[in-house]
Amino acid sequence: MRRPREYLGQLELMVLLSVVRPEGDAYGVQIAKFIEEASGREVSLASVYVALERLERKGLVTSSLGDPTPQRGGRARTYFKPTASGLKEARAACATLKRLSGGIAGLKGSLA
Amino acid sequence: MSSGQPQGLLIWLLNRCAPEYGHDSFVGDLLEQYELRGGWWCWRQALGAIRARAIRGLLTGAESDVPIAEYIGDLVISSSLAIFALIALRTYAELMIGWITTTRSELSTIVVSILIGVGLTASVAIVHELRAGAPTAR
Repeated sequence: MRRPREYLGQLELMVLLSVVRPEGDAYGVQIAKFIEEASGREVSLASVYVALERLERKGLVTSSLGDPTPQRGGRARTYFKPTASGLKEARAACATLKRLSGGIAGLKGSLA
Repeated sequence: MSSGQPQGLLIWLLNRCAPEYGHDSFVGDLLEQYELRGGWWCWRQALGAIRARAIRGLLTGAESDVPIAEYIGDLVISSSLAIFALIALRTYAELMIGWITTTRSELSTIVVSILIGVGLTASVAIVHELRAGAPTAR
């Protein structure tokens, strides 16, 4: 029997892919910047944090606190990195999107 | 606004309205970006956080034990009562204005104005009392 699976929302997937990027641990503003650069659209930082909360609850990312800095008013950054399930989910989601878009002539070449 | 330290009002707002999850990180991110991206960007993000928090609170009842069905019920009941009160008030006002135009006296105008005022106040008070008795958003 197939295991029931909750699909990721579009923003959740974009946030997860930004966390998976190989540039090291990502944090809120950086993730929002990645998404803005990739999509060409502005994204609300609050919605990024909401998506990160959902991803962490689903066990797809983990978080750790950095050191507090004066520029941040003595507040620390929260860094996020993908878990093994997160990586698996990101791969599966990308593969699904690729398969779904593969047969559509109008979208040819749109996905790597 | 786009240089120097963030305004006290912005920090006050952020401290109260930033998302509960990653609250300090969210506020820290905005303060860090204040010089780079300007106050306008920070204000927009802060207002976005308020909106996100309000929607989340409404959908999940996160800050109270009142479920979404009761929020909707409260909204429907209070809106219906307000509409009913307005319709009743309009009918009442039309009747009174009809009386003014037939009698055409200054006294009738004063009496009708007072009655409309009393009627309006009573309607508002009734709706207010009913709303106070119904489950509230917080």
